[in-house]
Amino acid sequence: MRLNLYNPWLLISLNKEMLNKILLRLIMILFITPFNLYSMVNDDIILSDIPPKYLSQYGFFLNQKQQNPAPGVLPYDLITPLFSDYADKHRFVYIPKGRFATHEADSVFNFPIGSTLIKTFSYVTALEPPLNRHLIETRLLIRKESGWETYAYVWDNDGEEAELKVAGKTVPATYINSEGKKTNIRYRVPNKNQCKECHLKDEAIVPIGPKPRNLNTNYNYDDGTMNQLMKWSELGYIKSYSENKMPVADYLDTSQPIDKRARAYLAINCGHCHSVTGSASNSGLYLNYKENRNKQLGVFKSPVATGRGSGELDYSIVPGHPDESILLYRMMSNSPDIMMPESGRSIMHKEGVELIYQWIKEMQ
Amino acid sequence: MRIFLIHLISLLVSFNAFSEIIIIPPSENAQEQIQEAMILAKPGDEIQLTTGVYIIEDGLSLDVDGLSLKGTGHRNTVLDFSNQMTGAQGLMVTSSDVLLKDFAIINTKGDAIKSKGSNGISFINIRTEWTGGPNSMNGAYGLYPVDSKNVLIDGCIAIGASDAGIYVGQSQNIIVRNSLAEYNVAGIEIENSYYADVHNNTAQNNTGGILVFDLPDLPQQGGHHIRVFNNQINNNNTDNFAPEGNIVGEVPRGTGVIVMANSDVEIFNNNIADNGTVNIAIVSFSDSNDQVFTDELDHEKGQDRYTNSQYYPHPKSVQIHDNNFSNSGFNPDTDKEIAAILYELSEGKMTDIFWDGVLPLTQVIFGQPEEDKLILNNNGDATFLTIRPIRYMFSLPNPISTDQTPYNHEVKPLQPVVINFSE
Repeated sequence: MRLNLYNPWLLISLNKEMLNKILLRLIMILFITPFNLYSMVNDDIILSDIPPKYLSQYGFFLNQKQQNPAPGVLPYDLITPLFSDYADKHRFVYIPKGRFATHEADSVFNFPIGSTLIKTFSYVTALEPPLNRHLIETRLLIRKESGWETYAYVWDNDGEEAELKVAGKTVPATYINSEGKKTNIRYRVPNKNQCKECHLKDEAIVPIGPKPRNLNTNYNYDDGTMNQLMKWSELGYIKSYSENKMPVADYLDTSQPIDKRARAYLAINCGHCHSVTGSASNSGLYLNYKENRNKQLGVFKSPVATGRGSGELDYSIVPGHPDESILLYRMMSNSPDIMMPESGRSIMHKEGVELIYQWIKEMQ
Repeated sequence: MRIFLIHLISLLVSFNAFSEIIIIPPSENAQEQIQEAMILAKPGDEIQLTTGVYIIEDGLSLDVDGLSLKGTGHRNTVLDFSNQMTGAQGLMVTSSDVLLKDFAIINTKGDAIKSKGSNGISFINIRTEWTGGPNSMNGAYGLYPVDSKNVLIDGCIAIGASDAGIYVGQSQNIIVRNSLAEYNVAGIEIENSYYADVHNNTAQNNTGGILVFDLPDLPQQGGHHIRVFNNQINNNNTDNFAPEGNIVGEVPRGTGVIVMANSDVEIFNNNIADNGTVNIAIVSFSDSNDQVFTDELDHEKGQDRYTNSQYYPHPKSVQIHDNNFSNSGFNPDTDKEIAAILYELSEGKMTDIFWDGVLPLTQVIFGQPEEDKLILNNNGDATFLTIRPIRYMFSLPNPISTDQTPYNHEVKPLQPVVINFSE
């Protein structure tokens, strides 16, 4: 394609969008590359008041399409992640050189100014190699001077570049499960307000995932497998961590007690809104990790302001009776006024539903 | 005064100098434009919707303080959510000092307009409607401020909600006035809220006209200081179409007003007529799976159940005076508990006002504190029935009383509610 640039006749036939892209590429090559030969992360852009239009301007990736991170950008995973319509998530953390994150007890890390959490959502387009990916969006959580800011960049169809979308976007996508069955998904890139729905705690935006208990597991780095907290410590991303931080359960790990698996799943999928400080505080249903009161966890708790979400059932959880539990009913629905979570999914999470079914069934 | 006005005008002018008006007409991109404007707008800005129908497929949200969203009238500017794909609401507001005016939101999948955590929110001449009439598939709430402060609902219309047309929950300093609520399960519901004036509204053709409720196990409970006055509360005889499991599912068809577990409630100067079950019911909260009397009367157990939440399940300091009652109980909905009990005890002679008489055991024995007592005063020829709990429990004769004289005390008017807007 780049060769076409030298053929004026072909250039004319390119559409406007294509032209813009090529121009941008040219600008990048001419102005950015010489000063930043190895695509280093641009700290000034990260902290600028007005976010850049394109993801590439941050320089988080050596190769955006392949999601190969630049030096200083470290991939990570959560033990039990949030379900997002079966999208694959590639997570990265960037901390400016010489700075480090601190943490109190088991709360989310306190990242220094200029840090960025990067999460790319994608689907594989075929099960057989070569493994191609349909990149959908990359979400950034940037720690600015005034606090955290959220930005969503939506990928073009070729997965070459992603553009900032503050009002969100609808992207048609296809999920292929392990048996090769395809499901069409009306994927919704969240707008800025929807980011806040989950990330807001006491009026301020905060990250959700990077807590010691969610990270305390091994990761296959390019240079070998290592515990993530150990790696962060080795790289100076964190100054210290206590090794005995209890990790959350992997919700799929059947060797773990079902209560731990279910609570880990509910915490990451529901607990940020369903907490005393979250956006669902008025429901009185609290599913965060630390909650230990039965009624607040939903046991024989009547619905409040639930509308059709009650499913004609009386309680959030009826121990031993998953079919009579509103909690499970809402996880199984795809109707906007019934489904939980309210946003972030359009299809049911079968594995999550099976887990919560079993949890309630075994509950005394 | 003149100097003050000049100051005010110069203030307004200077204020306007910095604020922007964003006009968005209906178009294919209107949804994205509205949402983008509601994210990029600065405090003081105004978004104007023009005359026409806006087709919206995803829930909208607003989180900018001091923003106005205006149409050209609730008949002219219509946000149509009939094809809504995502979002539990039509419009979600999470910011403060917000004005919503002169538009309609119709046929949302869930609630029409919700505000959460707003301090200062006005709904003026807004219509929320499910246009297919009463249906359990309709969304739950029309206008739905929750966990909010300084809430004004004025000149609004709420039609067809499968829970409440106008629902104010866990909020403080509330005025609902000059509004119409019809063909909802509950017309207007004030729940777990403090300081509300509900006046000059019409609540008609709902299942229940106006509900004043307090429920347990919520962050804000102990609902109190609610004034309901100068309202027309008539013909609320629509069959209950709420999905089961919700508290409003318990409301009998044909109910004018229900006060449940609230304190300091003053109901006066209303016209309450032609409600087929009862014009006003005053009841305690009881879990739907509990026996109403055996459980609630057990003081120790009651204390135990609600100790953690400091919840008081009984209504107290309720004053009902100077209302005009007529024609109720002609078609009681005896499938619902409140109606069934009243029907049975009155031997079919339904009354205008019903109090379930449920009190903590100590008060059953030693009497209610004077200031907690129900007051009935100057309600014309309204009829009344209450239960005498001990006689009822032990199946003694005369388990009911229809005598209003013990309740005929001097009215102690509640103070008008004041809303504090920051401007």
